[in-house]
Amino acid sequence: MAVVHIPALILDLTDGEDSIEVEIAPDARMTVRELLAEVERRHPGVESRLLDNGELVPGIAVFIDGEQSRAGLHANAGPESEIHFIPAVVGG
Amino acid sequence: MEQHEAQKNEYNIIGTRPIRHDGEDKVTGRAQYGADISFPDQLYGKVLRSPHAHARILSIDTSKALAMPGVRAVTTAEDLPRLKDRMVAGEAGAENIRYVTERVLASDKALFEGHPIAAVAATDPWIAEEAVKAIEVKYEVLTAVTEVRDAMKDDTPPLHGELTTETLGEKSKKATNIVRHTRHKRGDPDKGFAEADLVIEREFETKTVHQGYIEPHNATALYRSDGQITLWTSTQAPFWVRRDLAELFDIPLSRIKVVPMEIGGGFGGKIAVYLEPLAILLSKKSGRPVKMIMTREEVFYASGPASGTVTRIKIGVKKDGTITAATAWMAYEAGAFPSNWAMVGSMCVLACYRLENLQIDAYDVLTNTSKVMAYRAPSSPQAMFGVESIIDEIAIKLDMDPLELRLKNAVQEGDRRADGPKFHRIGLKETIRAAMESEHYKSPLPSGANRSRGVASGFWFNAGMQSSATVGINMDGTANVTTGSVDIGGSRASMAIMAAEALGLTAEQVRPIVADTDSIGYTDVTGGSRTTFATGYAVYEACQDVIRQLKTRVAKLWDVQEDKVEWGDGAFHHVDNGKSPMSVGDLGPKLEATGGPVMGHGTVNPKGVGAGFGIHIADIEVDPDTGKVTILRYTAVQDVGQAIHPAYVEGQMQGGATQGIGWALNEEYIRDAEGRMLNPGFLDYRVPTALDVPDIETILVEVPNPGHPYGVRGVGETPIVPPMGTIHNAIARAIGLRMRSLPMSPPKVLHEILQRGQTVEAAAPVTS
Amino acid sequence: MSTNRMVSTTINGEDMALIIDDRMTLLDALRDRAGLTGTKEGCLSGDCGACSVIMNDRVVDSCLVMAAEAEGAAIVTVEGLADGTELHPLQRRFLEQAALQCGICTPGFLVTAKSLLDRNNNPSAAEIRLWLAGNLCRCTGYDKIIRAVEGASADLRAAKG
Ligand code: FES
Ligand code: FES
Repeated sequence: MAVVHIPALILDLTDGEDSIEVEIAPDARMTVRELLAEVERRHPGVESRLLDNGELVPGIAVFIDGEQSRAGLHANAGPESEIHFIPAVVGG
Repeated sequence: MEQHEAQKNEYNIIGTRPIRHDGEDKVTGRAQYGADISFPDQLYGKVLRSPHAHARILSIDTSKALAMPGVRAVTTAEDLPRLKDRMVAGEAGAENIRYVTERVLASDKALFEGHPIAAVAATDPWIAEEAVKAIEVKYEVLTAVTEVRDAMKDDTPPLHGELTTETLGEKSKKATNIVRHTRHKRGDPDKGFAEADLVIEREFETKTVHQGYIEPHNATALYRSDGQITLWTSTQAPFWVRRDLAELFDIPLSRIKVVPMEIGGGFGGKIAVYLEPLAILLSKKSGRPVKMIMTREEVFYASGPASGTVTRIKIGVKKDGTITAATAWMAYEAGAFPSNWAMVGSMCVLACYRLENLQIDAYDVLTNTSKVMAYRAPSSPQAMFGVESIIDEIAIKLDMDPLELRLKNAVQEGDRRADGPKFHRIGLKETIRAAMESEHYKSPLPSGANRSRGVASGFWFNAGMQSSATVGINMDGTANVTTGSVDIGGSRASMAIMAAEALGLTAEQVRPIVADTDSIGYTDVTGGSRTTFATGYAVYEACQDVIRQLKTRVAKLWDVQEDKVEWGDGAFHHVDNGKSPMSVGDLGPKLEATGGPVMGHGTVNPKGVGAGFGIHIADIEVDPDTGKVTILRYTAVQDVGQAIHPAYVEGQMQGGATQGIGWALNEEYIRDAEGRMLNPGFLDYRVPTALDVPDIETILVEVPNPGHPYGVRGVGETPIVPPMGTIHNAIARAIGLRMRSLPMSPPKVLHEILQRGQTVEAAAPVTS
Repeated sequence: MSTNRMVSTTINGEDMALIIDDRMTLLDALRDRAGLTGTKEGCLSGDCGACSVIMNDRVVDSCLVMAAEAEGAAIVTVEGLADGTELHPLQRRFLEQAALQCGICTPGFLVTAKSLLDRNNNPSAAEIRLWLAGNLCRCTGYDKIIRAVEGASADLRAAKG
């Protein structure tokens, strides 16, 4: 079960469900884009808040298992993966 | 030094303190900083800046200036391409290129005091100054709003007519000064507070502060007739400067070469472009190199300080000290253009505590001030200040040791950050324990009236990002290491140490080089405490590449299969011990005969960044007659991962603590009703001097980061975070006053003392 | 309008004649006319000490001295601290004890500390802090600078025997 965490500001779109489980077969992989499409199928509207012209809204990054993923929407998630959409931070 | 994990102590060079390779030049005055480069035919550029914090520009007449003898070029916003809305990579996430253009040179509105209106190049600086004065600008002065609270009010006119609030992919209908609303939520805070035995909610305020690097911004540009641009500048991020310029001028990256000069401090403030595009425009028009240097006043009002903030924090605890819920409401000054610092602060504010129930709401707010940029652990100090104050209040009310309370609630590996993801291996608990065990914390409280001790914690993410490195092996077996990371505080030495460790050389046998943007692969900013981690990683990878190549050479020399050759302990060995070991030094002279030069490459975009945590301890005394706070003793404790060059790690902790102490006690932008800064000088702004700070003791807790081959964790940013809370808590414990507005400067402390009259809260000493 | 004039001074023991503009500060003259860019500019208002030089045995902020005032003066800048290839003990100690990070303040600190040690070869930490209070460092927190000056003063005493 991959878990997609829903950002707090759009919980109204998922009836307050803050994490959505998506079945991924053992050894299988799904891209974050595919996972999002699945979430969108169940809770219409989520995608349009996270994507802008098919890309992540500016300033938001994909985190998989606590690591910011450089591949963004193309990143692969496995059955145990945890996905967050949170701001990317650099520093001074 | 505290050491954790068994793998430690196996290093030869890492952990030693060699003399930095650029040191000689820096103590003899030979090092070339940005202002030190000159060309015989150079012109001097000066900037005309708006005297108003908010004004419509009705007209700009440059004709008189242009006609002055010695004036070679004048530029205004008209010379910059008018670009369409497009989000481009920026310092804290993406920014609209149109706003970058507008920030660099104002076209129809001046949005902050010091906003550039025009720039002039002349044959000497005095003529340039006169010419700036000869430019005639007509303004319609508008009401300026510089305080976050005011800017958020419904009836305050929005700075930018068209900007609306972004709430994760959705825009508000109405134009407003609130750029963005960020929220993190977990569990049920209301339920958590209901379960608490004690709930404390307080409001806190911090003022705009500046990084205060001693070297002012500078830029020297040459625009050649073939369209190639060379820029010499002091920047933390040469590749980002190149990117920003390419975006602004809408030209290919390959037309711009950025030469990073030695840099006199940055702390996050020398990342964005300010003078760079102006110098280029002036050079393009005049055909000559143009050199520009900001005055200190310009640095203060027109570079990128850190946000003034308002936060409201609420924390609930059980009698035993377990936190049941926490909420934070935070508003951050963005400056005159959208920025993301509240968003960043929202991810720091509760980072030290394990929480089931939380909600954080953060607002980035436009003000008529220069756009806020990064400042060391950007946004974390303002965010954590309030939390650390309340935690201390709770400790007093529950009669618990404040470090014990923190330890009880501290996050560790596997706990979730407030914004969701789980922490990897972190060393907060080890750091708290080291602080509790420290000689300072165990020593008796300072004796005497109005004295006490405070503690507070601090957090920073640290960054990874992209870096490139090459390692060339010389014919005598020494090595050159080239990276694209500007050396702002000794990173050449760290790179050399890591390369020496990897290649079995001494630090002195490695020559570290910082290259320009034409001469090394892409490398992100020197900032985010990422250089030793990520660029060090690239150096490590480049060295592994060298070892791979050398292995082939050794096999050739020994006339054996490669799998018979093994690298270990700084030399190649024959697996069956049939040959005497060969070091890199032995191989240098043999390279030519075995196939030619050997050069290793390393490029990384690493995962495995390790977050940084620190605890500071301060003994202070408050003078009840003047309100002045004197620091009697100060200790900084931090998980630094593996310290590569411990002296520079200590230096980062001492320097960060001192900046934090300045922020806590004295530093602030003071503005008049029209939004003009009244104290744009080092002394009036009050950067700490050697008399304002004590010796800073350091305790390095080394919890190696498993995400790095040498266990490196970013170090530089975390230490600026704890001082505000530490000193605030010490003052509260000394005289029973909670100074919830920074800075806790003598007039403010005195005011509070006088307001309070005799007694309110009895002073509560820390137990130890 | 500008007027140029010639100023004769001794810089780091060498007689020099510099053609200067009357509006120039000593800092400008050192950097732009004598080519000695080791003396740094941080504020131009006497606040930071990055421009510290020794002029006739006194530490001055060269940004506050007009170049014309240097006529006949003896000036020591950071470039004059080393004795040939031999670094001054202060320079050596700054390197050994990591008393610099970005290094922009370093020339000013070295020059100011030298003038202290020229006067008092055994200053206390408090005296060092007081003497250096006109020099700002934003990177180090001063701790390692104070330690390095203490170290150099011990070296100088040891060398004297
Ligand atoms: S430049 Fe002279 S004191 Fe700062
Ligand atoms: S070392 Fe950077 S200002 Fe002192």
